[in-house]
Amino acid sequence: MNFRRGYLIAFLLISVVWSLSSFRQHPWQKPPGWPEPIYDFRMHPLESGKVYLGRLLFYDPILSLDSSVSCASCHSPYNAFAHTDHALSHGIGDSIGRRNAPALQLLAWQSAFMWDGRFATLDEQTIFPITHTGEMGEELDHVLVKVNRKIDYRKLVAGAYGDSTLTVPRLQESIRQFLLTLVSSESKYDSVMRKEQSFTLQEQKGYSLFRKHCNSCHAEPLFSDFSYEKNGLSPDPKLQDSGRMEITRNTEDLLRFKTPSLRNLRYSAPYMHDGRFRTLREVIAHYTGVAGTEALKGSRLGKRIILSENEKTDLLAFLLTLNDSKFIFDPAHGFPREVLH
Amino acid sequence: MILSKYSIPVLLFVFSIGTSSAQGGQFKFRFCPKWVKNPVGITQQFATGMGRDSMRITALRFYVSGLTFPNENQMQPENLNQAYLIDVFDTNRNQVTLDLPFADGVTTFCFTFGLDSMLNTSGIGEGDLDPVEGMYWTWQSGFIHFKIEGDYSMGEGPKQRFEYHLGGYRSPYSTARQVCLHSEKPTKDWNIALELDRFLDPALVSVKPRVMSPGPDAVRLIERGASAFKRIGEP
Repeated sequence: MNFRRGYLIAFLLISVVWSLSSFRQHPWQKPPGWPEPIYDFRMHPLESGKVYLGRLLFYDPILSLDSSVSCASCHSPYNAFAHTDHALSHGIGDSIGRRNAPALQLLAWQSAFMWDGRFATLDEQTIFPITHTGEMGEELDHVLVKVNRKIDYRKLVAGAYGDSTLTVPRLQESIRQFLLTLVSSESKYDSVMRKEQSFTLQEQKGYSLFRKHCNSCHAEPLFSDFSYEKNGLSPDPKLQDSGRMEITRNTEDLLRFKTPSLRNLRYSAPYMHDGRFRTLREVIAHYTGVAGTEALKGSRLGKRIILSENEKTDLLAFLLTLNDSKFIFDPAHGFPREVLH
Repeated sequence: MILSKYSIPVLLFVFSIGTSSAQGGQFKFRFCPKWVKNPVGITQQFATGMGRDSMRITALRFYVSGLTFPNENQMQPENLNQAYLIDVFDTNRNQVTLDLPFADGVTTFCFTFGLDSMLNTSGIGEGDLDPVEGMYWTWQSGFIHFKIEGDYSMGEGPKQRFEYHLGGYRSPYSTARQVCLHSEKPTKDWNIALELDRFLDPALVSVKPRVMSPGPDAVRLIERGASAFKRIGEP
């Protein structure tokens, strides 16, 4: 009898623990037909408490030295978590950076972060802007003091981690978990791929052109293979940005930058690592001008791209099918008004 | 009642007068950037008057809202708190046309240069308040009220650029300002100059090429901006 009772109690305990952990898990699903993410969700599953904490920290300017700049200042959800209308992003004290803040989407499929891939993990990435003098300009110790002073944060940290003290690893993990939830997969293109809709004739023509000329670097369905490529942009003498070579010190990597995803372009202008193109037409004009030139011989842009004006418009029409307003306005990763003001 | 042969025409005449005075008319206001009274086009290089220095403006956008016509004796039109995003270099967006009950035009026209705190704290909107316009900052800072960008030959910033994104609605750094303009005679078509030489001081641009957050610098600049509006035709 005692034996059976022991089994029953153990069974009940295991059931309770399992259901609690399931309740705490934040659902994350790979969109159908997409490649497996690089991030190991099985080893490091998302937890709702941590995702929520990360979301609050993402939007809170408390992370910056003078509480004026949050992650969302340069990565607005309404702009696909990019920095619209700014060629170069800026930080505290109106300091200006060298590059345009990239869109934070599809991070689970990336093995390195930033335009030059300097960070191999998202955890390193989250710390960099907080401590960079041209971005948030703060020290991590001071961030922890400020956050741990706030009772609302202490409650959230306790809910997520069991005790109420935020540490640097917990700060990194919670922001990382929030960032991993930023997946855009509900554009018109996606619904066409799921056979729920059809392209218009113009969009279909544009899609054919895209597959012929753009797909090698901007591979479907992520619309990037996240490789580092030269794309014929002339360097800006004032910015002195060598791209990937600054990290690898390999001259082959001079002026190589990470290929961004083409999802949500409507929301994330301007374009390129230094935001030099304000419109997609300028981008298309650039590629039809440089592809096949001497400088790009041997690269994936080694062949000329010749497009008539109508074809350029068709291509543009297709690119606009990659916009996902559901992602842009998703309240699940929007500003947490209920807590922050 | 016996109607004479003149009664109906007289009645029709009286009726038409009453109707036309109730119909009102169209009111249009248009913004034109100028430097020392000379029109400035987008990316057009112009001399600042300081030696051989030159400047170019590459973007100039701002909000106007809260339109009023204080000296008009007739009832003020409703729904004038709408925000308009003015792009002085876009002929489709550098002017606004309204239907007003003042058939002969107005002698005083006032507007808020920027957005009031309610619009700032209501979050994003559609149309001119759509964040795609590039004028939305964050929830804590609200909207950018005035954005001017360009380059200055003596500038020290990257690419010699200057960028002033002026906004903020929280005290003491609120940057919304009331602007009132006058005309001697009632006028339906207002051309308003934005006299950039009264706003941009080349000496300041060369040493402080960026203001991109709420604060005392933004307040100082917005006050210069608010005083730079002048009705064209005003002596």
